[in-house]
Amino acid sequence: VTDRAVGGRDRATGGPSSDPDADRLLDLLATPWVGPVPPGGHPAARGPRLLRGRVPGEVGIWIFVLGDMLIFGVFFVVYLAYRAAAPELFELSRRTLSSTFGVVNTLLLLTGSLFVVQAVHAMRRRSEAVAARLFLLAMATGIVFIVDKVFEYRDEIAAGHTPMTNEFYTFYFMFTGLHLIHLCIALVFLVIALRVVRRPATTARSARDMRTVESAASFWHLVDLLWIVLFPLLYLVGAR
Amino acid sequence: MSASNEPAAAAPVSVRRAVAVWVVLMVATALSWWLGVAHGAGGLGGPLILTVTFGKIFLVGDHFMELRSAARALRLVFAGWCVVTWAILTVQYLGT
Repeated sequence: VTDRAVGGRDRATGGPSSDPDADRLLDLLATPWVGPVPPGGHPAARGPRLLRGRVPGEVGIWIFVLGDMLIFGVFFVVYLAYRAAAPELFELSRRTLSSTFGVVNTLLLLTGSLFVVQAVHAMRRRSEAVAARLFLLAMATGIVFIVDKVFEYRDEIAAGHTPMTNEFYTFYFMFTGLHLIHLCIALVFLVIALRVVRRPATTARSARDMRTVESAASFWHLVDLLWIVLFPLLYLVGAR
Repeated sequence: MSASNEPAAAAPVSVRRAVAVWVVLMVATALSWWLGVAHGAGGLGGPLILTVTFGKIFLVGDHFMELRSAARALRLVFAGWCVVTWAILTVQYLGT
């Protein structure tokens, strides 16, 4: 047991281990949704029921996505715990935020998400030109979000609200700042997806290309869903 | 294509459904905003907004992130995060 590497491969030989479930999982994780089907059928159709099916994009992206969701989940809980200790301070500070910026940014990211979904779909249909246009539109929504945020930060700082003002603003700047960094990374992912889409297609689009595009899409949606929680938590939910 | 290859052939997401989900998400966002601004989200407004929020996230996961057609384990972990986070935040909110 001690010789066994993570995932069931034999560390010494690099060959299949004696654990067929682990090997099937590895096959599943390594085999993309599109592209040539390995002999014996797609692993998505084999194996234990719980693991049967596909993973959109790289497995590594999903480990990051789920890990990030967990970390932000802890952030949300910590935020409400601090709020419970000083409800009046948090409520007064919350009311100074412009929820108009918040709601516009939510609608922007949601619309960007729809473009990304449509782009992935266009890519599967082999409509590369359409996919490229949709990725550019999605990137535009992200860039407008950043511009919005700059104006919002400017207004807050002009009103004398900085991360040092009180605990609420510390959370506000930290959470929205971290989210902004995520958005910038998501934009880089979309640039990578765009490059893949624009690469001249030869005979067949490789499964690897499709997986790269799906990974970029999954990361974009993570940024969208984090904002979906941050917006009501910081801007909307008032004192009870 | 043989039966065993079916998951590789099925389209995981329909664009028309994605557009419908997007409309639902946009309307839910506008409603939450209205509830938060016009009513200060006091009383049951807070838990209601939180519930709508995590419903929206489940929709994003299922339809935009294609978890509806993904390995069941992945969908379960995602849904589990939604339920657990929603429950903790709601209990915390009601406790303050």
